[in-house]
Amino acid sequence: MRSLILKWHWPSSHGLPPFSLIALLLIVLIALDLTASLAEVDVIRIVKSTGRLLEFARQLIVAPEWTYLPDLLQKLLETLEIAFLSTTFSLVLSLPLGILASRNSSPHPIIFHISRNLLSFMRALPEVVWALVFVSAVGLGSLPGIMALTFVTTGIMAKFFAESIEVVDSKAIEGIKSTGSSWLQLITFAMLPQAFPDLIGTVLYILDHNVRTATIVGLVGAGGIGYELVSSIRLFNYSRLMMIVLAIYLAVTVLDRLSNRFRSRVI
Amino acid sequence: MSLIQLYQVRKQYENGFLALHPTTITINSGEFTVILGPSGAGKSTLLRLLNGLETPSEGKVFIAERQLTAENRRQIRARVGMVFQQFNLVSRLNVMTNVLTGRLYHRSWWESLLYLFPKTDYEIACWALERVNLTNFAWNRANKLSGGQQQRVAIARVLAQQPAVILADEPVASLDPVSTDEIMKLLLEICKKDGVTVVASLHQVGLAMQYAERIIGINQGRIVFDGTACELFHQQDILETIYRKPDGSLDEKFNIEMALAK
Amino acid sequence: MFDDFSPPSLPQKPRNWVPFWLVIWLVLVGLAIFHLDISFKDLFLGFGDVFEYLARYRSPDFSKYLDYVKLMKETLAIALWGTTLAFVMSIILTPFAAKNISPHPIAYRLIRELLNFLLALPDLVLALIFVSALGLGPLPGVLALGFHTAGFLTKFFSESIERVEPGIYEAINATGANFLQLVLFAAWPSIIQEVIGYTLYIFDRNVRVATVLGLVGAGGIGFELNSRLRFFEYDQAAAIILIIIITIIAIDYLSAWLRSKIS
Repeated sequence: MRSLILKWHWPSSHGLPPFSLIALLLIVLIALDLTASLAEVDVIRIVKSTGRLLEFARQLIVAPEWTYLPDLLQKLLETLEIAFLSTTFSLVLSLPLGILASRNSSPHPIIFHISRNLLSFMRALPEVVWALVFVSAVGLGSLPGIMALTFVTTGIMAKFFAESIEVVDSKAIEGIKSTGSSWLQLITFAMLPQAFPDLIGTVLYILDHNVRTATIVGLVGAGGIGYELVSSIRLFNYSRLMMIVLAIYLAVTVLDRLSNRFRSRVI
Repeated sequence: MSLIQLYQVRKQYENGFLALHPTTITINSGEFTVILGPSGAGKSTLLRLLNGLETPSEGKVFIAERQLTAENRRQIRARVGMVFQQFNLVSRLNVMTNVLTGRLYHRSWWESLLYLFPKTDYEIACWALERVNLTNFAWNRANKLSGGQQQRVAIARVLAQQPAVILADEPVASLDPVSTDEIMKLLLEICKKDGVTVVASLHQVGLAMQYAERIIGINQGRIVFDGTACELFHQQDILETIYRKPDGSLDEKFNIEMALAK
Repeated sequence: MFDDFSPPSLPQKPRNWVPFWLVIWLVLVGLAIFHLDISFKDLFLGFGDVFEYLARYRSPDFSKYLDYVKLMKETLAIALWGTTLAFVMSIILTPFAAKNISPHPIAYRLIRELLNFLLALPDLVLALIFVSALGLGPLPGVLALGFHTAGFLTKFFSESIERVEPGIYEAINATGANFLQLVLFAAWPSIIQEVIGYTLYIFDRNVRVATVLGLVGAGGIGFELNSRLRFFEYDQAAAIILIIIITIIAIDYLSAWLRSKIS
């Protein structure tokens, strides 16, 4: 009967698309519909404002403000330093935390659970929120930015480290165990060397992430180029905005290329 | 002098599987013993009970007249080396470092953290590498070597421990015939020349007959034979007992093994 | 065993560069600390202050919690729509951004550069731009998230496609399929699991980012949090932070559960 009603069939036993797919699609569509008003997603409004967007885009095509270059480079350097320091401090903290939060290297199940939950908490809020809090606590400058970035990225890095350690081959662990080594020696010689490629990948990813985040925390006064960025938009200083955006884009691209090369050399 | 002693040792896993029935064995210093049996007979379990990788459900294990407990496990492991079927090396590290890990028991925590070993340890490692004829590969990454070579690195690691006992859990099961001979000869040489007690588990009857002084036949967790290779050779029916499956039929591998042994 | 022995000559040990790079790293760290003029003395003295400061948050005031929940819902809505927009965009862009199935190398390079550009701009900056163009409210936030994370998703998806065995593509090509059919029957089905995984991860991330978009007027709870802090109303701020944390952890559990359901 079905072949008379529906001209087409899906390649499944009942001729219809897989139910889980349909269910998923329905759930997503319902959720979207419910939240459309909250997000003020109004197609008419979007269409109407494309005119304004294009006009805005046209305004952006201006000559970059080259005189601003020296200040820009200063601020960019500051941003990169914030990212670099945060990644370093985070790495130092994440190694021991990652070891404690990993099922096969943690000294005790209780320590394991506490570490895991602590890391979840550290990851929960975005860096900018912590930056707000720390600026409120220690004042303006790059220090609260570094604190905020370090805090959150430790949560991320340590979790990745813990997961890398958990998937390590247990045969090497047994081999090292059989020579009479201690818990620490086991970690240093059997687990860490095997997790090493993943660790490097994680650190590079976090460095990239931190550079991007460091460009924003200036917004709340935590150092870096963020503040200039925002004020240039607010003051409609588009030529300066173009300079800054170009600089950020270049910095991120160069970092990306360098880390790819480093990655292929080490791993 | 009895070096290894199992006294009424029984091993049952959490899922209920009885790997070893209550067993008492004594192995004397300097002997080359082979534990012979089909897969799943309990050979690995028996060996792993000897260095604490498995703990007995009942009974006691004595090494050099001292009972093996959780407290002195590390200390005993330092003098009991183990060679594994899959070599169990740290693949990313180089050969020299892998061999040096045999000395870990004697190193403090901060030395290990920084991968620092004293000159004497390096000399011992060099000697071990010389012994297994791998000096030229000292700085190669472990996983770049062939199977036979990797097992030799594993043996060098064990030698670096300067052990009183070497346990070999199916040391040649993953190797080609040439490497198999190489490794078995090496183990025998170490036993005879350096006076190390060797306990190896094998499933190949031919190899056992060829190299062992004493053979302990095991099947489904029970010792069914304990004597010399000669005695086993003249008692074919015992061989069948070793390879008998639970339902009474013979393990398929048995026929292959007999053919190879001839 | 070991007594009669003279050390053999080992082959040359390859030079270990690790200590060298380590020193360089430490020097850079020192330089950065010096340049940024970070005083560790202030930091440690400040820790005492920080604890006293954090103590001000210890009694959160939930009296206005209904308002905050409403703002949190708005934040989630922004994240949902942003992720959807990003997903739709990346479905279209991905096939061109994958080196092994892109129809033309020029298209590939162009799309890749476009992606890098989208990625380089932080969400907040994009949000600011959209706010300038469209006015305040959550819509600019949706667009900003959508465009920026479209860059991430396309990058992840195209990398997945590049990792698929070439045999699958060859087989479909050999039947005479055109590009669109190749995409639909070979590319997408092979990577569905990874696609869902990445999308959930991005949704997770977008919820976090959406909480701060309000700072630039792009909707959500961020603006409220900032105001409370500016006015030193720590009890309110504490309540808001707690609500954010609970929501994010809940979303974390949800997406982890969903991910386990798929695999």
